[in-house]
Amino acid sequence: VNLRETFEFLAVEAGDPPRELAGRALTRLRWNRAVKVFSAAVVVATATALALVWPSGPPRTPPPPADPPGVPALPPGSELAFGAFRIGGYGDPADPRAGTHLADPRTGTYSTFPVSAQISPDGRKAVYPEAPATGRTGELPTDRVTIEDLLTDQKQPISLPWAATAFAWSPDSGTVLGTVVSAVGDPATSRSRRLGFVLLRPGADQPTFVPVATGGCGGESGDDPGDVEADAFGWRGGEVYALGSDPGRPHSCVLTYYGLDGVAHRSLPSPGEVVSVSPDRSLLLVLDREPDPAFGNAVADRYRVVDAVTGRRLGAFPANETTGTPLAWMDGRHLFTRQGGSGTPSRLVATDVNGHVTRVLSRWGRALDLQFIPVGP
Amino acid sequence: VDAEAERRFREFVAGRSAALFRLAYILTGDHHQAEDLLQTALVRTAAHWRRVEDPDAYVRTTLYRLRISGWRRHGRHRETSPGVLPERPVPDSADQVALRVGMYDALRRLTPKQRAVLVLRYFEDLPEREVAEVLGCSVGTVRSQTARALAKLRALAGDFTVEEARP
Repeated sequence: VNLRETFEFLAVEAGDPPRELAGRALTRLRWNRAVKVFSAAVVVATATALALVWPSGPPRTPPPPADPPGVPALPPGSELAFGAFRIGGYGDPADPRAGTHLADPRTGTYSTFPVSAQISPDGRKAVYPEAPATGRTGELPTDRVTIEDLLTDQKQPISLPWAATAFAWSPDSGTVLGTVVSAVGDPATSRSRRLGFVLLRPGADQPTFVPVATGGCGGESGDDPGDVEADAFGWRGGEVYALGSDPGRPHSCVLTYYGLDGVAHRSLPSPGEVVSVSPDRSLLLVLDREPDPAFGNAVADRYRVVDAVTGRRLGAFPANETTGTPLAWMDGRHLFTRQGGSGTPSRLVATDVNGHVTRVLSRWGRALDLQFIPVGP
Repeated sequence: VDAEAERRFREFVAGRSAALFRLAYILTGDHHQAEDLLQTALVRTAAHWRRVEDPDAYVRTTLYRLRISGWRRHGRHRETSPGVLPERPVPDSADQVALRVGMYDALRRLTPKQRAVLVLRYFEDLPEREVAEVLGCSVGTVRSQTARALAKLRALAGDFTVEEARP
């Protein structure tokens, strides 16, 4: 069975479109506009009433500061380094085959790494999936990776017991963690699901597989296994985390922290999809969805900053073009955020936990994906 | 929407509704959901008609983004398995029918975003960068969502083939 053919079957099965689509769309549009006009009138009346009883009005979000002179270009135009991070570029919109752009530790200049690589915090090593014959890498789980010493060009290929993806370095650059999403590659159990992680150590022959039983959680079908994820800063406490089901409530999710031995340390009700762990491991940036009252029953993406232990919310802001997309923690109070986006110029700014811009970190430039490389343990 | 714009909108819908409805159905797998999804996308298109340079591309992008943005998350319909597979010039064997029904079932278990990524990559044959632009996400997200979707399909439906997608 072929995937494309399956979609083509579905296309045939769709049959004829409903009648009067245009007429019904126009009717709905007119109705929506009437509702909007009525809502606007209500808002104006409410604002007027508020202004009468609260003359100073609610606090306003300060406008973002203008670009200060001398801010650097985005990678690979120049190397960025802020706080505990060096920042590389990942992928070039002008050349989709290009891999990772990073500062070469020997020359200090930017060079292009040929595949999707993860650079170690000390900048000396890279881990990447073995390049298949087609030249495409990084998309599918792989059972062979290479660890390369960037100073000596020495390569160490490693075979994994289970196909893994989403590789991440430990903060001391001594270990790589890969997420195992299923038992792909094992003929005896090709349909079973095994979730956990593999630990690879440069110089060691055998990787270590650590199973983590998270159970199903969320997702459209309720059986999404959830991924085990690592964040270099989470590793400082020797922990990774995974979303899993709540034993008492199968359709609810919990976020569980695991030691590198696979033992669960603690859990909290899932605050959303974890995007980044703060350098001191006390805060999480998470992405969640909630109903948007401005648009019927649709839901809107919303970022939250929560306490990593209790899940208590400490900040929140919507995900939109104005606020930008937060990518990673910069320090314990600020986030690296990309303004602009796909197909348009973008720049890197620092924002606080409520999405307000506090500092401009780069000029507007090409929209690269950025790779944040923690520096040192 | 003035009379001339309304006339052009109606002409566009009349000419493209079949293809757009097919796409909505592939994304949802359910006739009612597909109709609702397409209807919502057309309302948005009509609202921005004067500024839309390429209506077909606009509606398609809106279909994808609505689908992955949690549209109709509340009270959504569950996709149903087809009782009878559509006729083909060369009939499938019993094994193929079983495999295909298995694929339908597995596709149903993907998240809307995973399914949308697969449709864009393997049905529309778009490169990763264009998929990212359509969905409004990063290339890295496209890669990870594709990997997860294919791994999940393999775990649920066993062996199937995919053509080499454009990088």
